[in-house]
Amino acid sequence: MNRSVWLCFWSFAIVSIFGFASAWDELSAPRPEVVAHGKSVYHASCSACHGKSGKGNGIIAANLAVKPRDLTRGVYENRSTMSGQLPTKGDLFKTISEGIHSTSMPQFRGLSSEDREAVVEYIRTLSPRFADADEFPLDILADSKAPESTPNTLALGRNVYVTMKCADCHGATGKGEGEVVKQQFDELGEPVETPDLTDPINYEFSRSPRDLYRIFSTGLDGSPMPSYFATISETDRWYLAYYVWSLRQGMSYVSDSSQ
Amino acid sequence: MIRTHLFLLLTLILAVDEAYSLPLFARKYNTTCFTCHIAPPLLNDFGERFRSNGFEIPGARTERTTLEDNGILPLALITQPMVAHEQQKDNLYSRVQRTTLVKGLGVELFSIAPLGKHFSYFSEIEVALNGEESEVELNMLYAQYTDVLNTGSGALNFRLGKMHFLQPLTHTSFLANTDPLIYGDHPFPATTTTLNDLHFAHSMFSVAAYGILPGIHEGLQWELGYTTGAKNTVDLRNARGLFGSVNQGFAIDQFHLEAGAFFFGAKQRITIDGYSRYPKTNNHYRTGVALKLFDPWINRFHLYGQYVLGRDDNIDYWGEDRKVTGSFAGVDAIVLPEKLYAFARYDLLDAGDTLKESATQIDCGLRYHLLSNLVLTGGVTIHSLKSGKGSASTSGGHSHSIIPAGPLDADDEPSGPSPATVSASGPVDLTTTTFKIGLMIGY
Repeated sequence: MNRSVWLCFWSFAIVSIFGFASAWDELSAPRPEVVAHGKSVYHASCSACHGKSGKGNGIIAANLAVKPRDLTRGVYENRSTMSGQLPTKGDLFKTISEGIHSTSMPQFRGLSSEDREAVVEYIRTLSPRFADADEFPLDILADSKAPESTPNTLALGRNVYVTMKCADCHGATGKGEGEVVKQQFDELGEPVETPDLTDPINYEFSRSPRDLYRIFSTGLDGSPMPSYFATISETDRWYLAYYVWSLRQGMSYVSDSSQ
Repeated sequence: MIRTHLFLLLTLILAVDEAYSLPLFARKYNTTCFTCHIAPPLLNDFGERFRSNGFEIPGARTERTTLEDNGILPLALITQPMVAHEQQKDNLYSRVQRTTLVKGLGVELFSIAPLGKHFSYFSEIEVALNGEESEVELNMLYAQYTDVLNTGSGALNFRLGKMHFLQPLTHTSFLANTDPLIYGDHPFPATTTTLNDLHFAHSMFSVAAYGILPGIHEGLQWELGYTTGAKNTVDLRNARGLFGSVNQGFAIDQFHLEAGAFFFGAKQRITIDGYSRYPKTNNHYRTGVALKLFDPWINRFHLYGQYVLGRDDNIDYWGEDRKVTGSFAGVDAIVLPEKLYAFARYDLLDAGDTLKESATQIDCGLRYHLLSNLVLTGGVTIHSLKSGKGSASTSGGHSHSIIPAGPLDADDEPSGPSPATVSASGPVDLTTTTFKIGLMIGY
């Protein structure tokens, strides 16, 4: 067996092991002391909004325009997994670390990585979905190479925006003045304000066209924003992402490759 | 000068609009003011925990930011310009006086930041613009050593400097520039009688230990402090005071309740040139209980109240004692979260036993957030004062009118005639109604 064959073998073995480890990691039961520590951090940092039991009814929740998530339901908007699936630990860690822009969910980078990881483990104990083996393995959105951005990209993205009736909710200009806006509610019956896509402050999870591409692919579970993974091609989702990104008020068009 | 003020105000409003909003920590943590405030500057439980944690996200254990790590200058400012139309009615003589004023042409400057794992500081400077004369006052400057136990729980912290004690539920009025009667600056502003009020809520040079343990809305907040001053400009050599408070939170599902109690006792030497033959010490204490609860159904109505008892054994340099009771109750209603709030508060201050004085105040109004940090407020304040009814306000051949009572400021020396020549002040019955509309701008 020559050297290149051995290289391929070991590469395959390593990828397999890490791939398995990743899936195993999502299913594994954390050490009790990690969960206990996560609970302690949760009660100090999170319970004021999300409530002691995670139902989203903390002491300050009533005063927040965007209601805190009910963590007991296991339904999350910000995910890298397909619509209807649970988020990965990495998704939860990312949301905790970065916060949710324009809402009262701050970034918790002040917490150590150990603390944030422990909170992730504790949050997963709040919903029975995370203990259900049928929820796994998670189907994670595959990495996608962004197409080259050209002036024509925006026009193509605009076409997708029109043909897929994005304007019904977001309006023809993206300002959120669509005709069905007044009827929008989340899964808990709370009215949902359709974001004005021309204003950067409304981009809760998006810091680049790539984030928008992910949202178009996975949807925002629990909100009226569906997944377009099955109905819009990968390339068109990228065009749409570029177009929507260009709507940001006062922002020049940014190529994804520069992010 | 007015042009300058208007220019500064306009610049500030435009700057707020350009920058979207969010002073200091909201910018730093990429969040809104309402993460820490019910409505700025009134802190919610998370905000109190944030403050107790050295201005860091509660629960932070190891990765503390330094001044350089803040990424932004740790500076913020608040201004609260207001137009007030005041109608004062003298109920004894049926006279009415009307005035319209522009108030609050000044700014409060803040610099607040963590300085590493345990240290942080808080400073507040007030710049008041009064015509040609502008005043600058250091309202607060203190250093904190937090998380002494290194657990991230905020159970034990220390503070040192010029500061307020964190007595339970010193409930900030939602209306810009409204001075609540209890803990306000001038509870009896229109009377000739100078009555010592409940001023221990003023910032004082102090050292204190405090903390929250454990949890956040079921936790016990506590503070124990020692102060060397009972007023802003007090002579630090002649005042000594102790302060202690506890505040316990309870939560059953959506029903939240907090109950607290506090005690402040101090001894103040009174030293006025030319009056050394009179008693020189005022022993005084303030003690009270407080309650706050949220409606258990929608959590949008916050009811609060407090009862305070104050006693001085020498309020006026001539050895006369004085007892004052104060109480307030109010409700804040969240009409539209992060947008529209309604509020009402009733204050009562009574010194009837000794000085035949009482005052009441009703505040009510609305507060609308144009932006997170650009707030429009409007409301009405009805202040009622009765003094000296049924008896002359004299005792022992002197009046209450010329000597500042209680803890004396260094610059509060008597300027009137000697006690023997002072005549009694007459009764007062005044009702002052003030309609206000104002802005609160933070950046």
